[in-house]
Amino acid sequence: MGDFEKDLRDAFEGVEFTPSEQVWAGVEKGLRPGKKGIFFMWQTYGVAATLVLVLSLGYLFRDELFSGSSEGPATRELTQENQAKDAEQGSDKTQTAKVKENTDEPASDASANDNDVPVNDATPGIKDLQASTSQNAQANKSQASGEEDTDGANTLMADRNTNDVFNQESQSLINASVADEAMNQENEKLEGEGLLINTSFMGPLNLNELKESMAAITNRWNLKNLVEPMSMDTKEGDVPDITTDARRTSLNGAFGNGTFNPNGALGSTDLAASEALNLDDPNLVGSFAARSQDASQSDLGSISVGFGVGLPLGERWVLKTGLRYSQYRFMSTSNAYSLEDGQQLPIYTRVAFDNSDVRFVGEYELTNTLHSLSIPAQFGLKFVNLGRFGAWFNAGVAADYIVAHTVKGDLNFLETRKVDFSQSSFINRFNLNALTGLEFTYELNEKFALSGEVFFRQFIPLGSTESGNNPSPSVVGFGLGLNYYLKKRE
Amino acid sequence: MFQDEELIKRCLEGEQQAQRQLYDRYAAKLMPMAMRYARSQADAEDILQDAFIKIFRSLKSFRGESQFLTWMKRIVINTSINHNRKKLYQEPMLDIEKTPLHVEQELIISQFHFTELLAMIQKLPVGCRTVFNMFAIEGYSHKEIAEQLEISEGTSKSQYSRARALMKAMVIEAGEVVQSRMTI
Repeated sequence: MGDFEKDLRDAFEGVEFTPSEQVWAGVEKGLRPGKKGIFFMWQTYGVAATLVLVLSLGYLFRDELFSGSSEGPATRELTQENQAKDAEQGSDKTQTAKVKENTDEPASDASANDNDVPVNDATPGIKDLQASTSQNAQANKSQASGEEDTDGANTLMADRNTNDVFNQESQSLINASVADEAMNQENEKLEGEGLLINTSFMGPLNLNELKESMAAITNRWNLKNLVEPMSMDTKEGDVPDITTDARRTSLNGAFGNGTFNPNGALGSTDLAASEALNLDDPNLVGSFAARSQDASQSDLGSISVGFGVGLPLGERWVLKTGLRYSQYRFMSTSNAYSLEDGQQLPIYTRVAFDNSDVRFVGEYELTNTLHSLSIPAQFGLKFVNLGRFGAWFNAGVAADYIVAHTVKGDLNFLETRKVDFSQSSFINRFNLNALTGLEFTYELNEKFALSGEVFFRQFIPLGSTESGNNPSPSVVGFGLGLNYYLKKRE
Repeated sequence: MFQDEELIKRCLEGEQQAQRQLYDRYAAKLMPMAMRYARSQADAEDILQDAFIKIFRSLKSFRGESQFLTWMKRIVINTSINHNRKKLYQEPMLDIEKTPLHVEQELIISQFHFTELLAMIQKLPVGCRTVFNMFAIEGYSHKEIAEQLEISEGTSKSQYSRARALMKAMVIEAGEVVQSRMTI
């Protein structure tokens, strides 16, 4: 190593050069990265919404679909008790089985085995419908038996209510179980007696017999629903109507959270912004352009809040409209800022900036935020109704107006840039949104319903941007809402 | 004023004020080094920023076996190499068999301010600049440079030779300008 190297080393020995304050700002930011806004934790909200949906569905399926098969401890106890009673009532069942012999409904093998009576084999000619005289006689007998059993069911419930085995807290459960149990017992017997909606057997029942039979059914309905006995006249309308809630005008408020995919807004890579820098050093421009274009646009998410009205359009259709405010956020990187009217503003190459005084710094993050107002017009089709639970398919469009687009640099000294839409290649100010979604509703009571939605929105630009792009970002997300029905079910 | 050990301890406890103090104490000392590897001040600040983030994040691995400043300088050099790595791949370093420049004139380095020398170094191609800094100023051997930059030892030598010739030419040229200024 010669004098040249030694002299050079000496020349740099102990020299100091103070960097700009931006370096510390960058270090500080790197050590303490900013947190995402709490409203943009869409993953968290997504998981929460999914959980709510799954729990609701689980509850509904348990409540609406499998109520007959769900067996809690109280039900099991009752079942055991009933089995004991069944044993005591063995003679009655044998009698019932004998009745079955005379019906045109073949008794099941299980039933026959339970009672050790070979019903089917022993009655080769009982299916002859022409044995009407015998059937009528048995029908009368069965009807009498039906009345007894209905009374028996009421007695059974009364017995349960006075039984000290069950405490007060579980009384309602027990009542429900008792009602089901009584209904099941009666079901078995009525089936055995051929009284259950078997028109071929009912034959020449007179009006009184029919009324009595209907009274038994009414009792069963009351027992099942634990309601006051109803008159025959009020029976219509108690069975839920599949389409009634679609016929009600509703007000709703909703909150949505999701992803925002800006890629559709980026179009092809264009060098317009970097070429516009007009700097002397082409390497700097190249570096800037490369960084700006290579930077991945990472999604921070979207939130929306809105309110609206659902207008019924017939049996299953609803037109939904209202007003929605949305914020969409995504992140990118830059390594330059510009001085404009005494302000230090971040540079995002998809939007216009003053290129007369551009400064280069270390790479920093940009947060783009779009504030939007939209008016949706969406048709909803109710395609599933399970009691309180409903499923809807929604589709429509929304007129969307971007109120503001801001770019915030992650360096302390930078101010927030407000984008001039007339010179932006990112997105148009006016857009159409194509909307589609799957919505699930659960009616809490006559007035209120909860709703959960999985939705997709696609921006459809109205015209092209300054750069000739046709930006069309998209949003996928979850929504939760509350519906208020203006009218009760008719 | 805290000693380095105390500052390091407080930085490890996450005290922001201590981090700022440590930065203020060493940033100006490390900046010229970053500037030698970069091609502009902005690039150098970028390097320095990344280096300080690494310094604070890896403070717990500093065991006091070397001087704290020496340890930080190594981080700045590594950060600079990483920073230039993309450019190094874009402009691959090749063996240069013939060095076209033969400088016989006497060189007087001491007549230049370090910023003038910095400007000359920054004009070197990225490969030459990196090897020149590492060999001539940091004192690495060609073997060490070859390992760090993932090039052959021969490439390191030829790049250095090229860088040295270019530097001498720039020094002479600048020296003549200085000389002419003095005679006017």
